[in-house]
Amino acid sequence: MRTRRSLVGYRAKEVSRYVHLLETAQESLQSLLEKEEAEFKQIYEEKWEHSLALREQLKSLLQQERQLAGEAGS
Amino acid sequence: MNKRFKLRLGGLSIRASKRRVNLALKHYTEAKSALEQQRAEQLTLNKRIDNEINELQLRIEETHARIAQLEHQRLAAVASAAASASLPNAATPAAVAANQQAQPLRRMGDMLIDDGKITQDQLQTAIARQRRYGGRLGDILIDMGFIQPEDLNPYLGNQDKGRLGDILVSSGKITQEQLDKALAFQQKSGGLLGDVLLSLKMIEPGDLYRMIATQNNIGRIGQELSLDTPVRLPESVAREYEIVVIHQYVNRYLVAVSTPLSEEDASKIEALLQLPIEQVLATKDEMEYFWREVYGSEMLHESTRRLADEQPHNSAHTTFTRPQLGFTAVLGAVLVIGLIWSFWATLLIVNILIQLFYFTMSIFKFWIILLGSREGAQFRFTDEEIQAMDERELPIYTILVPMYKEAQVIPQLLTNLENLDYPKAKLDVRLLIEEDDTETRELLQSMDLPFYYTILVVPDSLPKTKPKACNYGLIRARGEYVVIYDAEDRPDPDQLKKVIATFRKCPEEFACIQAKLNYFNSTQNWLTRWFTQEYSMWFELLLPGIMRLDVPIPLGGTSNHFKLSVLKELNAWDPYNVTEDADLGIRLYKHGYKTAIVDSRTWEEANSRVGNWIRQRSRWIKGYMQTWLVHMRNPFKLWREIGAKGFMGFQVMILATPLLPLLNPFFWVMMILWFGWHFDFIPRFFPGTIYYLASVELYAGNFLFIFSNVAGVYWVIHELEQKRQQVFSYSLVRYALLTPIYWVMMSIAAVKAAWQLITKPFYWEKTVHGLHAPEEAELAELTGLPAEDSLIHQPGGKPGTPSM
Repeated sequence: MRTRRSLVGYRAKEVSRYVHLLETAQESLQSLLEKEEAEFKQIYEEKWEHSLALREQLKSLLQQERQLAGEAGS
Repeated sequence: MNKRFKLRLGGLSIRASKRRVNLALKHYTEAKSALEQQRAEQLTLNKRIDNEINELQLRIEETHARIAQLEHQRLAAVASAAASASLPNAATPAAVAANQQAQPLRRMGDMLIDDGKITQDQLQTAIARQRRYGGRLGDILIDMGFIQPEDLNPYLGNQDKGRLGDILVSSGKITQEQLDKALAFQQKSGGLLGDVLLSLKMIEPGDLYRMIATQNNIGRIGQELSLDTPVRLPESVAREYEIVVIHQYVNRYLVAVSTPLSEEDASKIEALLQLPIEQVLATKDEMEYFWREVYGSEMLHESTRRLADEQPHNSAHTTFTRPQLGFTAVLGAVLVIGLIWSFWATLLIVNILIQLFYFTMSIFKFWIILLGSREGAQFRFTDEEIQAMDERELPIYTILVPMYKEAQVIPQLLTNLENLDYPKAKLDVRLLIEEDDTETRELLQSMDLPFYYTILVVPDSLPKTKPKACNYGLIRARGEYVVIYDAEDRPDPDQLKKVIATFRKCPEEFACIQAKLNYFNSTQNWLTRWFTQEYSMWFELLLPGIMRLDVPIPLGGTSNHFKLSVLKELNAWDPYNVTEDADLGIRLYKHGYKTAIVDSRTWEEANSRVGNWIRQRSRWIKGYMQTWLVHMRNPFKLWREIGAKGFMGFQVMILATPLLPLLNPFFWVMMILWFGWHFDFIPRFFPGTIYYLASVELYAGNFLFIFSNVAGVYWVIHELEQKRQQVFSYSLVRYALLTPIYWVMMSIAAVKAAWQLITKPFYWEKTVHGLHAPEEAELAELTGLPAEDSLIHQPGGKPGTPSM
């Protein structure tokens, strides 16, 4: 991108270097964001699966408990 | 743009460069905040799923244990059946049925067990959860998978519970007579029935809230007040809806509320949390506990940093700004150069400026005092007008009482607050205790305080000041109006009503009403007599004069009543200013709000020991110095904001108060040197006109200052005589002749204040209270009650503890 010049102004090199620095930082943040998102997705899915398995386990245990309680009652 | 670039001829256009840099900076900031937001969301989701897994694992363990127990019972039953096969059966089905009929009011849990819907162990597990976190038992049983909703419905009672009063009577929590009495109170003073019942101590808060929860078909908070929250709502949202998330069950959040949420609000919260919520009702004190646990850091930050962050130009966090330091350095350099160039001429110029300052300040101050003595300078109400006020229209009133190591004045404080003629159901008294003040805290916690008292422990952090404590107390204040009282204060019983009458009489821009302060121990010693004279002049004449003139009012430390909304709008008190009251008076004026004086007094204890008095006065003077420095950071801006008259008033009240006691010693020394030894150099300071000006100030000025103190005391005596309350003796007047000794003490305090301003600007010099043990007759005189009914009996123990 070209920037206009004036009689008294900033040094072009300094401005370009600073803008480049900001753009690089932004790009690295962006890639970090995508990386973390992917990592989190994977971890979360694993935990979700684990949670579902625990739910199923609990469900069957409760069923077993109900059955035992029923037998004891009768 | 933070980055600074060097300039050069023929460089890139500054505006275009800035545009380019700002665009890149914007993209960078957006990326950064997106990352932060994503991390925060992921953290919440992670916590939630972890919590869910933990909860499921816990339930699995518990279920395993119950199954083991069932198997054990089954084996034991088999063995027992084999052993007792020959014994006759003691409990026949008919006997069980008879037993059940003997217990007509069976609880839901028992019925579910009897009907085989759940086991005893399951019920115990659910009850343990309920005790810990709260909620309705039925909901917990469903959530834990012990029962299906359709199986539970037949056991649920009538959902329409009726009116609260009827529920309380039918459940035996109160009698019909008590309900009738409470309803009569409500008819007279308004307010909620629950609050009336609590104020009359007819029911305990826990019982009342249980019934309110039943009425609204929601649960109560758990007895253990456990807090195990995976998510925190943003503090602003929590404050708006008055809720705190306290626990996550597998499929829902448990949310503590102080009043049940509407369906619409509950839906909004559920949308925000992305899970259903279950409301559990918490009492006021329980909510305060949760709030402190969950939002303690936010509250602390708000009470210490909010003003400094949002309005740094109004905060004393920075004592001297760079321009102020630069200006002082330049002024000092000019003075030194002047002294080198022409020593006597420079001193003469300085003296002329000082004399003009003295003269102007004196004239202005007397003008204010004259205005203050006129009719209408304060708002006055007759007893009949106050009695005619409809109590049903009175709003909730918050009373903040900051305390520090003042356990011995607590019985007196409670009596004084109980004496206030205001519906107790509409009071919100907040006792603010510092974290390290265990004695006061333990004493308060051991007392059975009425429900409208809240004990708030202010976290230990710097600055440890009264305004910080007040800001902390203000955050969750419920009142429409708020007032500060010190622990030893004895406000006139009708003060709150008089203030409301004043607010109603004043235009909308009046946001603060200052009551008059005076001392109940005026005759204790010479110091208290002088102090009483000074306060009488200040509050009876000077402040009403300022109000009349409409210039900024430096508020007194206590008994200033505010509209709570305005106080919050201004970010309340500056925790870094040691006379936060005076500073707030100026800020109110800057924002276009006004202050009025009401003819109602609060009786305080005058400092009776010299060292203690100097500590207190040095703090006040230092605070005035801070206030002047804060608002004079940009004198032109201040002039624009408050106008010429306000600017002048500001200088008279805020600059002259610390400056004159600092200057006085120089002139006293000169006077002594002249009258004692006729030093030749002294006349060189007072040539011609300046001599006459200084003479007028010396004779007429000093006379008028003393006279104004006398006038102030006479004013009080006269008013109290009319009200048939003889508190002050006329003999108080003669001590005014010795006021110059008091001025010397003021100068000592001013020098200390100036030194502290540089070395310890935020240090709060503690004042010892409780040095005066009032006679019963004296108290009775003040309150108008017979001696035996009056206030308190001073508790034993050591007198005097430091206070804010």
